Amino acid sequence: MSLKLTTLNSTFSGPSDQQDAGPIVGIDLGTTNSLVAYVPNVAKDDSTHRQPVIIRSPEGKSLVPSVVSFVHGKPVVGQEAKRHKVRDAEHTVFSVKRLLGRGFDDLKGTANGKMPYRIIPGEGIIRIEVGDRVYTAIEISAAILRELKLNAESALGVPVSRAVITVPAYFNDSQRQATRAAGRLAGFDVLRILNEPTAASLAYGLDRKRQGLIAVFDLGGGTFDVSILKLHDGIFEVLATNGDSLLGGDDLDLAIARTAAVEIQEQFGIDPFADRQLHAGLLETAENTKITLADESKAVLEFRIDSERIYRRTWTIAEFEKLVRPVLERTRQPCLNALKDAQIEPSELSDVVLVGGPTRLKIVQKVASEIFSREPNTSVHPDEVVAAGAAIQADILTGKNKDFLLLDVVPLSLGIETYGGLMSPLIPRNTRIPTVARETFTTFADNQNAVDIHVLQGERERVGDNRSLARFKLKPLQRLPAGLPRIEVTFLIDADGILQVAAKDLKTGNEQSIEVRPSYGLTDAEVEKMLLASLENAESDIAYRRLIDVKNDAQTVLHAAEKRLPDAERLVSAQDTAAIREAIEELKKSLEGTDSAAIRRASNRLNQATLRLAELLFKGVIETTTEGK
Amino acid sequence: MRLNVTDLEKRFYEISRTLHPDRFTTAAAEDRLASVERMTLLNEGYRTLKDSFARLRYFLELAGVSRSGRAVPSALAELWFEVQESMSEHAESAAAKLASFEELFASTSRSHARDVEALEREIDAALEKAEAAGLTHSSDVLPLPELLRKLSEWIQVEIYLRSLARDVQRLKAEGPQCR
Repeated sequence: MSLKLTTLNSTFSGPSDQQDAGPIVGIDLGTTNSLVAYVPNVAKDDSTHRQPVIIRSPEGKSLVPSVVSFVHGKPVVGQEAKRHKVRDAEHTVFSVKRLLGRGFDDLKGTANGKMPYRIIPGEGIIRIEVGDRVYTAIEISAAILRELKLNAESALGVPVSRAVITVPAYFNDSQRQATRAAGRLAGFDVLRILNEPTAASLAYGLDRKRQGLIAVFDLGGGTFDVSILKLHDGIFEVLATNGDSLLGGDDLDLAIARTAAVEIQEQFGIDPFADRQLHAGLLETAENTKITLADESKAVLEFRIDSERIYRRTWTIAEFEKLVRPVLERTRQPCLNALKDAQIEPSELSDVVLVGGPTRLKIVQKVASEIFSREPNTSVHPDEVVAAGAAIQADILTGKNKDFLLLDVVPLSLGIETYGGLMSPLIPRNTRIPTVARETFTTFADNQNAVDIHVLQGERERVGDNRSLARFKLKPLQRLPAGLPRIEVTFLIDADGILQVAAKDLKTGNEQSIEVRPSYGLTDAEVEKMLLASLENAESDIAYRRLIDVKNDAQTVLHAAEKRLPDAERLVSAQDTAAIREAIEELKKSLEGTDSAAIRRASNRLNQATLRLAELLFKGVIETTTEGK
Repeated sequence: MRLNVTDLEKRFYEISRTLHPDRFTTAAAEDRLASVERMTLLNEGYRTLKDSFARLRYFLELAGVSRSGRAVPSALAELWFEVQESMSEHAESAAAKLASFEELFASTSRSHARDVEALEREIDAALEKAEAAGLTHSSDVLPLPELLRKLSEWIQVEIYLRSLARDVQRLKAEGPQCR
């Protein structure tokens, strides 16, 4: 049985949600592709009738490539940007999700350790240099989200300002915060940060017939998650989750690309990774080879190095599987950990649901079946199910779907640094959220005026092996002898899996404000500043978008006219043909510039010039068809 | 002290359906905050009651029994010490030590679990008897100081075994280089 996902075309104008502050969309912000979905209003209130619909882009695609290319410093997103990936590697950013909420050092030895675009070495949050500007992964992600917002708005015909955005379940606090900041920057009120495997389970369990314990094995473009859930009468309870937020389809591409690079070096004496364009091109070729191998038993990888030299290699499925098996084996331990934390045996599972593009590969299905000792379920749409689930959660949050409820957990233990550089856990992993832990702090020296708190996330004992989330200072209100001040700190993990802290002086009962310095994130003030900057730019962005649209339309007119030139010489006067040629040249010239009014004028003139020709051609078509009869 | 886990879960789901923050996203800010607080409390309560060990500790806390008598299984503790010592020695002898330790750990854990279960039954029986005699107030129901004290001791052992299990796991994960 497969999921009933209806796909929506952008020309469709859905039922009006206007009476209640507009629709809430569900967004899957993926490493490779992103999608947006929503649940249309239906007369019937039954949850099984509230089916999610994937919203298509104006080009009719449901997947929007998570690629942002900067053309003359202006962002272009999606399919259009993907075309620039190799041509303009330096100005094109992709797989940015793997950089969200991370530091430069996190990337060592991973698929993203070296990218065709420039990542600036340094402390704190990762920064990307494109041309003469520096961006954070949050801003790049915001550009993608903005594109999805526009797609949703043009499809639904109403402003869309509220969203549920999904993240890998194994995302830590910094990564979740970064995602939420990106949503805000894109102009969304982010109502919920939702775990991807949980979202997938919602779509999977929509028809209510599926109950019991399931495992969701979610291998995406850049991240891997496994969640064990209990489905019971509309309740979706996550029992445990685990994963690897630096493991995904990208790593399989990289394995192929690395093999190719070694062979290219041997055959031609060239290191393709040393050149941005070759690097980006090789990654893309490797990705295509992988995709071919999902359906075929072999694939020919062909890669043009320059005008004379081409590298060619045939990959059999057996060779490919041997190559990527060690990478995929990294999914095993997280699965076993999740089962252990959920305290269940694989035999108790009623289903293992595969999610994510790479699960189309036979070898991934094989590895999953080995881990869980059962054939996995491949019936859900691996690319669309997460966005569909996000839309269902959005529907739950609007209060329209009252039958369903998600109960989720925190993926990683949360703790603080204690004496000796060790982490003292406060909230263990897989605790149901929202949850709270309280800890009382005091001073070690007389008159000490501040206590430093270092918040960590992870499963290791030593501070350095865990993720540093933030630091903050507690300031006792009075100077007192050592050990006398009592400050209680509340660590709350909300339903988004995001940490909030509050402090109270137990002596006075006063709330204390604390300034949190995120280790790999932006402060609220920084996000606010970006938001203002983006509003200032919004107007020029819109003008730019309009220019792109005008240019695209003009290109279509131009191509059609050029194609018909031979017909013109045959059918119309030399004078008319010359006029057409002239109009073509004029349009070409205007297309080089950025004056959209001039382009539109030139485009109209070309249309005028070809009017007579078009008439004759049209007549000709009619005559040939009638003659034929 | 015994509890039907299925009923507990059902009740937890029922209350969750009304309390969960997802039901309050469009509500006023203070209602949203209140739902987070109540759900937090519900989650904590469910966690405590679901796990028999946490439930026992909570029960003892209610009964006002202080934790006492840290009874550590001495044979196990000694062997663990030897394992840690041996980590700096030959890998082979260290592995052998670890294996024999794990064997003893497993058997100790098993017998401990049996003991606790027997004790729980004893307490349950005592409680039922008290109930049958029409005693419902906790101070009346708890003429079992001896049993509770014993239970408290067992819990200390349980805590020790659990922390030992964590240490063993860490040792195996991080290897001898950390010693």
